[in-house]
Amino acid sequence: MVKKIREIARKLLEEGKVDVVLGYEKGTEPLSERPFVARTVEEVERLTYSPFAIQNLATYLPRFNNNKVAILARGCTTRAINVLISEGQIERDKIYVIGIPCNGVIKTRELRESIGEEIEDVSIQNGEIVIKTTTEEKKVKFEDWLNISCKYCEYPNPLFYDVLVGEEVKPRGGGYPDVEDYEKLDEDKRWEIFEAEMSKCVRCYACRQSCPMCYCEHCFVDSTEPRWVEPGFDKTDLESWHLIRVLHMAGRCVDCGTCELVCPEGVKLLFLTRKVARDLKRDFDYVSGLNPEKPPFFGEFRYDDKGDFIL
Amino acid sequence: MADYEPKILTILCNWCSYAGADLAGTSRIQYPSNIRVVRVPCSGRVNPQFIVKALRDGVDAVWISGCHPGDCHYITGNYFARRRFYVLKDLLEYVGLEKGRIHFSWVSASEGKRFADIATLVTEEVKKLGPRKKFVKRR
Ligand code: SF4
Ligand code: SF4
Ligand code: SF4
Ligand code: FES
Repeated sequence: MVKKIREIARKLLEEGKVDVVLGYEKGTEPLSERPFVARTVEEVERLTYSPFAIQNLATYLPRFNNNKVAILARGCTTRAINVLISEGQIERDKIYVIGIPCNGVIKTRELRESIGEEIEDVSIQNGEIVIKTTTEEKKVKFEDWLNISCKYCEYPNPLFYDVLVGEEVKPRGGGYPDVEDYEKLDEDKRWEIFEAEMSKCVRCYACRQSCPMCYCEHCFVDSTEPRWVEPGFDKTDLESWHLIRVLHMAGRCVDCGTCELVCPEGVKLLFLTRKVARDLKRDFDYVSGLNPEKPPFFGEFRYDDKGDFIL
Repeated sequence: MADYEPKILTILCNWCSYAGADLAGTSRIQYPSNIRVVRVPCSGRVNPQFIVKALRDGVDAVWISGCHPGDCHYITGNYFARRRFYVLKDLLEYVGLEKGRIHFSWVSASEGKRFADIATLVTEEVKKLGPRKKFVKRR
């Protein structure tokens, strides 16, 4: 797969069809693959791909609006591209999509922490992640370390592409059992868990920086007038930051999981975004990023929208 | 608890619900003084962030009211609002905030009585919940 990706990238750059290729390169340690922008044929050799490449690359597209860009895109990347098109941030015909049918990405930070010692090498074999540390070789099940969004992903295949690398995969099956489980807890328990999660947040904003939908030049959380969120670490401010962020994601979040995967503090975020996604699907028949022509969820309404909660 | 007098931020659209409140006033219909009214042009002007911020800033509850569907002065403002309120309300309840801290209603300019009734209902419900223990800023 990596060979094919490099081949395609090299050809595109050589022929001048694109200025840059958005992809991934090896990170500084095993189990990490970070975004990489290949601008020359030589740089193509640095491109790689594996389920440890957690970042949704659509995040970088608006920054390359003056370039012709090729992008490695999984199902959720193409959905993010659709949302960005529908919001007028990018144009489809300036983007060359190298589609990647996706087997899901791994919770790399969590996995690394569970290993607890220095990792020398990692590989994936027969549904297992094989991790060589300085002292031993450990095997864990691939499926056990899947990003929660990937576990229930309905659209693992790119919705559109200019070239496809590999064979289309079968979705694992959709649904929101995680959200349903949370709903079953009683009210006070839910609040307790919510507070505990949000309290871990150190306001580094990695979740925002990594999110393809967070392209705002001026984020509400930085606003001083009005001051939606005060500086500091009062629980209510951390909670306000996340509640409002999730509101901004309604009908836009494509459930790629990048925000939660990049969080250095392990704050759970997907139980919030996925809750809204579930509601929109169940109650409004709306799934974000399926159609670039469709207005954003909050930019339209239906006369028969749910209203029984209003007196 | 008996003398607990909650503050309820009440956001009313100018054309229907605010006029409804006015009518309740001029008709001398009594309603609880716990509601603190902010007038906005339309319920569509209400950003859900207002509600989050008001709660964080310490009000006991929030009540938003606009024109009945089909009656919005700006034709469709309340339809857009309805979606936003739905998402917000469900999200806040999902994370465990008590039901009954946010309320929505449609009240027309001619419904002075209805305005007072809902003001009473909302106030009673919030009084039953008592002072807020969740989402309270440490000062
Ligand atoms: S990445 Fe994690 S710690 Fe950083 S702002 Fe987001 S939730 Fe908070
Ligand atoms: S909020 Fe998280 S899951 Fe949703 S699009 Fe942004 S990064 Fe992806
Ligand atoms: S959290 Fe909201 S305001 Fe901030 S960057 Fe994301 S979408 Fe924009
Ligand atoms: S003017 Fe009353 S809801 Fe729009």
